[in-house]
Amino acid sequence: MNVFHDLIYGFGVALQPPNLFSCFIGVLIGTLIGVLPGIGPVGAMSILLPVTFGMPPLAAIIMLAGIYYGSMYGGSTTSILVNIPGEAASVVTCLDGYQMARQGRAGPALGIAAFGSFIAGTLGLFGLMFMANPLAAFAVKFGPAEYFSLMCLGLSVLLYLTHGSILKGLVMAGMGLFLSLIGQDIVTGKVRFAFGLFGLQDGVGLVPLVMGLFGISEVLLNLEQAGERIILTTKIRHLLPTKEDWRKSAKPIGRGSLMGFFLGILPGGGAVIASFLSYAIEKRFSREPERFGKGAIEGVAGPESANNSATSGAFIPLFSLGIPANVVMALLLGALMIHGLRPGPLMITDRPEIFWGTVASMYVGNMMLLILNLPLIGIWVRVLKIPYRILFPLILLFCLIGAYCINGNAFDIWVMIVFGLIGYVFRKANYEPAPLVLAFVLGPMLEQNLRQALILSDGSAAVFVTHPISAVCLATSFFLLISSVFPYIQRRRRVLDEST
Amino acid sequence: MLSFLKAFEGPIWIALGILISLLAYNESIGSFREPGVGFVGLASGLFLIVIGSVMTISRRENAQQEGKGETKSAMQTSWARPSFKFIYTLALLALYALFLNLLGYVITTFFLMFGLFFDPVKRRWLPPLLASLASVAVTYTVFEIWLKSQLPRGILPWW
Repeated sequence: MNVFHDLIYGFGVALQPPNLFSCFIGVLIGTLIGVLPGIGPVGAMSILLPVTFGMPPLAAIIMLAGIYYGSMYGGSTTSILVNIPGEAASVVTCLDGYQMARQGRAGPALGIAAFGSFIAGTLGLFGLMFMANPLAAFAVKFGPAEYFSLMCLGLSVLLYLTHGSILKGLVMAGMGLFLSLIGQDIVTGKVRFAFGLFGLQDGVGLVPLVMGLFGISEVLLNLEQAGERIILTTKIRHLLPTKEDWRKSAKPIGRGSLMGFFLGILPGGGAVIASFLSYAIEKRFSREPERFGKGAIEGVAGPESANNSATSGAFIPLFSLGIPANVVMALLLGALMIHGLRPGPLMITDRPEIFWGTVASMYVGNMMLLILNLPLIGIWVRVLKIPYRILFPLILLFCLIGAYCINGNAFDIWVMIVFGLIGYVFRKANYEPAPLVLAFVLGPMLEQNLRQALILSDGSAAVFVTHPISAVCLATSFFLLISSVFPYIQRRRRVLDEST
Repeated sequence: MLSFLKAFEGPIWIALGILISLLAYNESIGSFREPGVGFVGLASGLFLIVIGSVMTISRRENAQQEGKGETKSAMQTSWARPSFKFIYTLALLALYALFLNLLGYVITTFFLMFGLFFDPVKRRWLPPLLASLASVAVTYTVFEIWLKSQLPRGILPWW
């Protein structure tokens, strides 16, 4: 009953006009950036982070969270109508969503995506409500060694699940860790690795780094792609799915919600992986797997539910442990810290209005999104028609203003441009920037906990394996990294066998 | 350029790892009992060296794998000819960062937006001019007046 009492308190906070307005603006922007290809939730959140400086902390967090889960809703629209995913988690929706649209069933595809997202988002929130508190109570037992190992586990899971080469992911994590060390040392206050640059004395800013790696590099990549988008011009009718559609979609929505939620909790997991896994599972469980890729509604319902549920799950490690599960959460952690809040086991009890207010706002936001995404679908289709040559200067302008407004310093613009170029090169060479950002955010915490654990244990590294929780986390990390190397060894053996 | 990067990605990371390790060593690494400011830096540098070495060793195999799976030729083509728009946009951004404090937000942003909106093929002046003015006016109103972000005034101190 305590949970429901807290939730009612959360609603009381979330329904206050400024918070309600922030929630609306957040989901509106989220849907917009989900619809518009070329800028994802990370880019949008980092651009808008400076805008939240003048806002109360809760309103700011509600708005940023709204952008995140709103983008998951909006992302499906472009996938279904244009065959271009608005953001990465909607890539898989293209496969069947676009085919449905070509067959004149764009309405049910959009409808089931929105309803599936709503159901999954709501179920995910139930999980968040019931799991965050016990986990936070458990996390109070964590010491520096446990936190250090948990962060290692987070990075390992991210590397394990990351697309492409694990070696490239490891390199990115190493670089992110080094970049996080630039600036003042947290223990002694000594400036390190600043190369004599005054602008680096406070370290590399999270916002310019993320905007460069995700926003600017994305624009630079898109500039190379010529051609305009082809948008289906058929009228979108019958947004409400039929009984048959519901029958086919019920189980995928349930499975997607459950799986997405737990993948969201896992450090390194998240909406993208959840949506891909959901699609794979639905195809495998289907009696007619051959329909997948040709307009199967299950191929839309499952992944769309999974990616929305994952967004709710991702809040659990952030609020209860203070550890971001993915890049978006890393940015949210940065935002909370800028607003003077320190997420962790004590935040739920010390600042209940932040936690329960955010949870309740997500319920409200889900309702708003249903209205925004179904009756107002026509508006989003029109937004889709904005040519990229008009869109990209505006994206760049918001990035520039965002980078400058953080500290009122043009140096941050340089940092953003440099990381934009680095991000462009990385992406071209198939290096994922996500491990770099996560390691960058976790870096200071990782360093602090490592040093504290070593000092407290009088220099004994055994502290990481003698503490049971820490040992389990490290063993899991080790297992994940080793298991990801197995396919490489097998390939190598095969190549050697073929050559001999 | 991509083939150069692919061929030398291992050595590049090794070199970077050595550089980071040396920098960390100079910053004092301390001991296990009392880790210094360069302790984790050294660890990250050594980590890069190890991964770079593994990359170097497995480079040949990687090249074979990627040659099979990826559209290598298409990627190489796009690297070989970085588009004019790409370099032009990057140059505009760099100029913006350079002149922002000197000329101020209004003037610099106007020129940047005009440069970005201008289409060299159509060569029409009025639409980009109006779009630039509108974007400067809207962002100035939102960020400077409503959100009280202090944008640089530059040579126009009354703004």
